[in-house]
Amino acid sequence: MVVSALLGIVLFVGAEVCLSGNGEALAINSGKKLFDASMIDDGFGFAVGGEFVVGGEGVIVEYINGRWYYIAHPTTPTLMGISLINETYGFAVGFNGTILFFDGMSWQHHNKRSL
Amino acid sequence: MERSCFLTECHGSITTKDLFDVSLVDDSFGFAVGYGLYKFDGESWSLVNENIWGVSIELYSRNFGIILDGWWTYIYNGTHWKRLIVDTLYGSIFLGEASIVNDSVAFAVGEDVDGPSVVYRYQNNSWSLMNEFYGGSPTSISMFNETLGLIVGYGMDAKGIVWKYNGTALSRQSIPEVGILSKVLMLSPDRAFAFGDGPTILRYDGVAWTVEQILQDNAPPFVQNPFQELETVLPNETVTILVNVTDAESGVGEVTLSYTADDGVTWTNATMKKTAGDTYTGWIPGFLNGTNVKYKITAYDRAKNFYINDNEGNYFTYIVVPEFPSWTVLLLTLFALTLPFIYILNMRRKRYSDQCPVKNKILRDNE
Repeated sequence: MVVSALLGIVLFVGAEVCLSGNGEALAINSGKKLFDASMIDDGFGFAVGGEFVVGGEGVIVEYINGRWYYIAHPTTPTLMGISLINETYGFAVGFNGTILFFDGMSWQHHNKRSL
Repeated sequence: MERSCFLTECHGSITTKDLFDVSLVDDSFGFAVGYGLYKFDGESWSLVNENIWGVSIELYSRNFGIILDGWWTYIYNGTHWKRLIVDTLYGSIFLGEASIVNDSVAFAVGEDVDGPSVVYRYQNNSWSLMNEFYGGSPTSISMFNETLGLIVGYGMDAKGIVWKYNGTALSRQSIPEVGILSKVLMLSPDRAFAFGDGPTILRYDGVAWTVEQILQDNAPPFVQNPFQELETVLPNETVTILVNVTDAESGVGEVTLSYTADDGVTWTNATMKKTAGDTYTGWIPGFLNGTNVKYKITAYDRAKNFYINDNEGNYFTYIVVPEFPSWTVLLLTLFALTLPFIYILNMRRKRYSDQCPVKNKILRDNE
């Protein structure tokens, strides 16, 4: 009981990360911004952004199963825009001419371009 | 406003290839804008107009779209982008984002640099000023229909603001204290999300706005044991492998079928396709008779956690068998060997029959 109660308490570690009741790490403030989002419906979508500084790193979060998750992606500069047409097809764009393609499973750099 | 600085004050921090927004209509038609306008034809992106610099783009169909570049707007009519000036009292309007309601109406938010924040409405190939207001800078608008929408932005204190918009008037909403909000999506009258600094995500449930937690997925996907469609595999026969993969958090990413035909010296990886529900399908090509094929399944979720189902190190296996099993060959051999004896017996019977015509006649008569 005591252990369960303690696990249910949200513990803050500094101001950056905390632990939820089930032990998941929750990012509180990474200094990154979300600039755009695209959702297919109430159940699936992505938001993109990053650090708005020179050399800043991009971020992608995904909405699935009713919750938002940080997801891994190819190393990318800050992302400014995203557009999905369904759960298996979409593009995200950003600094330095970055174009990422989502194929339903993961985000990959899209190299077929003439920027 | 947040996006306006991309083309003005923040100019020094970006390159000429930066892209600021993208909009797709389908898998073979879309545009992206930044310092230049780029078109997607289903295969590749190509520069179509280097003179159009846009901070946002919204396509409604293949016949209607809007680009805002701050000072100018561009309207797509199905064949080309036409520049359209926004009339303004102050002469320095800057629209940041548009929301298209249907094939002829859109709304856009922005600021007059020397004046108030504004909401404009597009219809009949012109922009009409709908609202001027102070107390906050709008960054994004999302209209569910012509009389229901949301606008987000920020105040002088750099805190996020949400307004409800009915097509003619704004009403500020009560929200948790968050940083600058840059994007809003209204999915239905009782569902919306707002996005901004932190990163922050706010959820609207029709009554109130609450802060969404962004989770870190640390749990790998669950990979069930695969199902091999063929139990007996003949030489050069392709084998279909099915497997159920689930991930309760960020979702299943890539699922890979790895197989070896030389006892693990070399492995070949093949991406499995999602064919139904949680089922992924992959194929192992045909091999020669006697080949011992081993395979395993590796699944990643979108947070790049992975799980390998290799049957606890034993792998899943099958051996390619000959097209005619050995017992079949034995039976055929025996049958072939007996053919001469049958022939000889028949010949002897025939000869005996030819030598005894009388007896044969008696026998026929008795029958």
